[in-house]
Amino acid sequence: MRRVLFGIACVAGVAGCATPAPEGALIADPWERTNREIHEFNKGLDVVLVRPVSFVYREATPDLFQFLISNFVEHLRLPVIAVNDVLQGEFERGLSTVGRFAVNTLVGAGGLLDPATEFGLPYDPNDGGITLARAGAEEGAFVVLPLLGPTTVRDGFGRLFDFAIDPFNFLRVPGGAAGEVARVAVPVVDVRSRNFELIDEVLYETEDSYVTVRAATVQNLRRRLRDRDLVDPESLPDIFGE
Amino acid sequence: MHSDRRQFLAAAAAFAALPPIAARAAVSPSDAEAFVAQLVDDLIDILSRATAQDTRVEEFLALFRRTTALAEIGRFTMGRNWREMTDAQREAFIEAFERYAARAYTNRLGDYNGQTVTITGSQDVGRRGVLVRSVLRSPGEQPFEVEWLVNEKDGQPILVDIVAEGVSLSITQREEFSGMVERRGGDIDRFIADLDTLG
Repeated sequence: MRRVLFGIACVAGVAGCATPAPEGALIADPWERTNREIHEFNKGLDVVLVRPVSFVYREATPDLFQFLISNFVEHLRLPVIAVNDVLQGEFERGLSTVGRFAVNTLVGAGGLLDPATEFGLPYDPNDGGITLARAGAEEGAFVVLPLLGPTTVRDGFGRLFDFAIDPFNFLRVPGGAAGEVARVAVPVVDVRSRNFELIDEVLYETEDSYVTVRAATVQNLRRRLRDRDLVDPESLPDIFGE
Repeated sequence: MHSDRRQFLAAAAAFAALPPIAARAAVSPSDAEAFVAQLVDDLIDILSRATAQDTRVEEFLALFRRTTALAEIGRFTMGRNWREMTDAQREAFIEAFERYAARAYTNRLGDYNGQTVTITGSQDVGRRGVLVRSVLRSPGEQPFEVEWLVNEKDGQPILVDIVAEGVSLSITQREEFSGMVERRGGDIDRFIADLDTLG
């Protein structure tokens, strides 16, 4: 509980609790012991459930079907993206996202198809973690969440925010319990199956998957914060300078 | 996401914001891009030929020694541990690291099956060099963003890092090595010996 409060205080910027990374390390990891336990738990879940289901999905369903599902998963994220665009003052992007949602809902079979990209309205992701960063929230430490996986304190709160504002979470899905399961499982299986070999390699062919996952996750999350697509030179290795 | 015009304005704005003393990369963007294009051709050439695993490792090693700042990358990946290492340990590590990298690439890249790499532009990142951007397309898969950090050594362009979807291989390797040394209780010799068996 104290940890949770600490996290909230961090994001709210109340306490002076910016967590600087130790010298030469990518990110602070004060909760490494707990993180490692949850990482192992998540990995176990991948072995017994997520990986086998994703494997069957990838091998046994037609490519076209997977393509439609991927489109639909992206489509359902658009309202949350539009809200974050607006919160960041990116009204033009917000408008494009709303336009994309309208086009693909109306002439893209409810979001299964993607004619909007052809009309110059490509998928342009955004999320609550980016909104928090733009508002000045510190990145905070590395944290592994049960089921949800690795993230940073800031991006964890970003996801919580996105979940809270997602209109589709207030919508009843057809199919009762099965529908509810699908709502949670489909995006997970979509991502796992599209990155099947890469995730396998990181989780099962590294000496210490926790360290590799931490390094890859943190760098990948930071990449989203690139300003106008420019890379921050500080994020690159300075091999002749050290 | 962005129109070309917007990208140009953004680049221009970012450039104008640089302090006048900011170091320019020693290598020119066009030289860096030509260097990466050649490197990609060489990589595809190795991957397209049906050679035995061991031969391919040697081919990669020769390519890396010719085009990559292996010793500097190796030193970088040891992070803080480098300072505590003896000259003999440093030498043994660099040797093990070169072979480890060649083995890792041989095992992970697999055979060539129709991938294309399109260079899309580059960004001057000051003393760190030039970051060349490219898109890797594999048949039936989503495109992948790959960036190549190129610097200059002895007047020649040299590869310093590869960044895949924002993930730097050198930085990730440094994190992994730092963890591996820690797991071995800080025993550098054991780490170097184990490196010879990995990849």
